[in-house]
Amino acid sequence: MPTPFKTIEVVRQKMQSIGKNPDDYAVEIRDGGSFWQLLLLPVAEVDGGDFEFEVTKADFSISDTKRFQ
Amino acid sequence: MSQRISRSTPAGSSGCDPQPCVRVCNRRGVFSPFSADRVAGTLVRAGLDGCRALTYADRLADLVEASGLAVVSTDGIRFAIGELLTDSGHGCAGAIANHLADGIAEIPGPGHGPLGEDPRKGALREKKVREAMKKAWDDSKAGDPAKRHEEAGWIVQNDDGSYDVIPISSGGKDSVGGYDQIVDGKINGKRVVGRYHTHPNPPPEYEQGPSPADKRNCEKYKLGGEYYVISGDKLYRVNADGSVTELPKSYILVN
Repeated sequence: MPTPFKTIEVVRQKMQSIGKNPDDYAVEIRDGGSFWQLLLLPVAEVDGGDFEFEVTKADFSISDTKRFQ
Repeated sequence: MSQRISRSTPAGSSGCDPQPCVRVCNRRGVFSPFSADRVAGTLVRAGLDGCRALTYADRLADLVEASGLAVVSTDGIRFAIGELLTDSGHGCAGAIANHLADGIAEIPGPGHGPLGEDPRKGALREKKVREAMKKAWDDSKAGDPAKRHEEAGWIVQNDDGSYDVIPISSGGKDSVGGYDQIVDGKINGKRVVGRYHTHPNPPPEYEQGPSPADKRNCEKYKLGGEYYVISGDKLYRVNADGSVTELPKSYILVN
């Protein structure tokens, strides 16, 4: 299965658009069937501050965002 | 002419009130079983038509059941009914449930007094822990979008088994650290057994329960069972197996 580079780039841009540095997060990617699910966990050892995105495989649009605290 | 009323019985239920063990404590400290039928009757006597009275009594019964409380107060019931009747916009279920035990001064431990078993477990039975958690929530300034931020603290256990808390410096808007304080499982020589922190940011922008990062840290530092997240409506506990239990926020609001 190809690594979803473009999916990661879409999410990086999304993070930058809300003022977050994507390099501050470790990314876990899961295959959700019709979408990729990306969990962004802070590299720093903190509670909260994480994000979860669902990116549709068909058009690389972000279909769902969860912001954790 | 008196009006006879009866409550509808949900399919599959026994026909009893859904909270047979919940008791009501009045201001004199007298206890009686909670009864939605009794609430409906009181509302009818106060002038409500029977149909509306039954509706509000059923909604109250649902709130009481969802609260998980073994004891509610007459003051709390009055508040809840008032919110339901006025539909003031403050009436979200969680907010109402947080007031259901208003006025009850103390929930004693098992076998003490008429309240019987304290549903709270572990560190939550320690008053100083509950007070620290409530203070953390208050200090989070959840009601102020410009100032809301996370607060946190460690739950430590003394050699005699009692608990203490060590507050952590205020966190950011949606995260809080402090893990670098732990050395060999201890802080200031005291064994760290738990942690609490607040989630002051409301939905829908923010998720309310423990986050993946929360669970990661809880597991890494073996805090499960005493790892608490305090949100606007609920108190969440991450258990040792990683599962999450939703608890009534009143667990930390009631002394």
